[in-house]
Amino acid sequence: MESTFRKSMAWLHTWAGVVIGSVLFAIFWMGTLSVFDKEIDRWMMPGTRLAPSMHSVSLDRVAHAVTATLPADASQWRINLPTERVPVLRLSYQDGAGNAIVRQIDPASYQLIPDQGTRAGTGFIFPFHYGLHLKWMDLGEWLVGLAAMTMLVLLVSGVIIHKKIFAEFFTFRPARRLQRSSLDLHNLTGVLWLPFHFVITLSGLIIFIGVYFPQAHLGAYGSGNEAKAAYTAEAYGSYTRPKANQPGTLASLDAMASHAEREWAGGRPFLVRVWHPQDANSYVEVRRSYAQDITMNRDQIYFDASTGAVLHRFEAAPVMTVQRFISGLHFIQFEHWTLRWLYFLAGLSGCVMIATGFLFWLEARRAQHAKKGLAGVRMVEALTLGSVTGIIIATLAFFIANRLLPPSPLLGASFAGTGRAELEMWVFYLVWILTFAHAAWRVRADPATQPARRAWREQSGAIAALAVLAVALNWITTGDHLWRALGAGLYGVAGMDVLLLLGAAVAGWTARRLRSRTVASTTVAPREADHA
Amino acid sequence: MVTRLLNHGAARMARISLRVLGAVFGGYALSALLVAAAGAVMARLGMARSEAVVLAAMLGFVAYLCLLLWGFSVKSVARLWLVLAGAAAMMAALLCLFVIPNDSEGSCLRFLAVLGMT
Repeated sequence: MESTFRKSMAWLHTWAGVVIGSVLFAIFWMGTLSVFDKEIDRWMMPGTRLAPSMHSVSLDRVAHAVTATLPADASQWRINLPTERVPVLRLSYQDGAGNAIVRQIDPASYQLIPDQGTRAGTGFIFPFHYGLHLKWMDLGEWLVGLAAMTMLVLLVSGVIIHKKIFAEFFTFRPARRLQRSSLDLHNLTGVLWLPFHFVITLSGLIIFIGVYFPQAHLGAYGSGNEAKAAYTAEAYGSYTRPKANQPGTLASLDAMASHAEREWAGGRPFLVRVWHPQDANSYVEVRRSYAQDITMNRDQIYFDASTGAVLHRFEAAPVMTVQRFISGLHFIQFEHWTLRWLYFLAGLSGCVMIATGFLFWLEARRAQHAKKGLAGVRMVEALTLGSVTGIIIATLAFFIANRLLPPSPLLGASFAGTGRAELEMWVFYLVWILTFAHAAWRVRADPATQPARRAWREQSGAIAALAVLAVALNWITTGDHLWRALGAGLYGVAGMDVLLLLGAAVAGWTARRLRSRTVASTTVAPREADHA
Repeated sequence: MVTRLLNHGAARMARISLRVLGAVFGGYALSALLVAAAGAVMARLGMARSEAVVLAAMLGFVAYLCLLLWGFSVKSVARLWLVLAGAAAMMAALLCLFVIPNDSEGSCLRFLAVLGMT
């Protein structure tokens, strides 16, 4: 659209980045945290901070415990077995009203752990990453898909508009003007981690082929529910049969699990689901664990609930296995701590890349917009503040609310019609809105007084204070300070405290630096380093 | 002078809007058609049906990425829309050839209506 291809790509990179950057930062931030979602769960659900269980779990004892608590109209229930990262059994089912209920079970006593009253990492942060909690017409998932496609466009156009891609591997001049150093950092994080950013974004899209290309099967299978069901069965191996509406029994789940282990030559189940419980046509789905493998296999065996006979077994075909491998690269559900930390660091580098992209856009225009009295820089700066520091503050407020709200039984079933878990989320959203309001209010002042710098300083200071507060509250409300958590083997809890303290140090240092740097250092000649 | 500038600005905005609409939504629509058609063609050529669909869907994101980059670099907006429309019509025709024998309960037109809705 511009005179040359490279100029078109520069235009596209600039404007796609400014328009989608906020959503992208939220997705990258929540995705980075999701790398440790199960550790966040332990921190936010103190009742589940159990030592890793040594005994093997008896599924029949689980079934006995579950049957006692399950509502009569539940259409299915499932158990996720304990793992290296999750010391509890996770029971989930749908109650008669269609609500998805998740409860934790202590694998040593087979007792239900009291409801912890929080969605925590796996229930709030992780779904935020791929759906933004906008359920209406799947709007959130589509927005995330659009943002992911934009990210791919940004990566490709970013590479095209580079003149010296190799040199930029090694270039960071932090002491130079903010415009130059933010561009260096943008290039450095972008180029150095380019393969990660590209693969993580494309794999995130490929996980959701069924969401983003819901009509993909129409050509090969035809239209209608039957065609869709045939595709799902052939690709994903789902098996189903209707209820008989006659009472039925449940044979030994342990026997079915060991049958599955024999079929899988030692592969272990991670999930057992009972469909149509108590019905004569009830059946049991056993899924194979992928804790030791990148590929998130779709290996599954279905048993007749009353006889234990095998009804159906499935293993994914080659192309589907490729899809499961690509999904596994994104989900990192395999047990590998070194890689998990690398994913975390790479995710943070993505956050830095997005944030510095915004900063460069702002610095390249600040002087010009101030001279002409344009509002663009002010608006984008407020947007950037709320999107970058704001969402971090809101996340910390979410953690703090988790430690400050009384446990569910004390709070009563609800507060003003809202459960404890919902209150935590409201705190997140209200604080996030407040950070946008604070930013918009600050940047309204005279540009000569550098009001944005003040807003950045204040929000960085807030991050430092809130992160320390979160660690202190964890200590006060649970007694699990760092040494005790380490001594008890609660590495997830200890790790979260350490990261909070590190984050506080970085944010505090940033706030200090923003106070001390001279005013003159940010005035710039407009559009200087325009090539990037 | 002022009106000319305004007109110029309005025309530029209109061109940019048409380009964004064409590249983002038109590009998606064409990618979705390509996915459905490629799935049908590969299945016809002997690949297992489900495998053909999964492969086509995964490649669909790459096709969409190429269409987006092309859509924002092609010189004229008119050409963008013409090429998108032409390719979409070709894919729809191709689909009809493959879908009618596979689709026991619906006609080609009904299929395209479903496609339009999703």
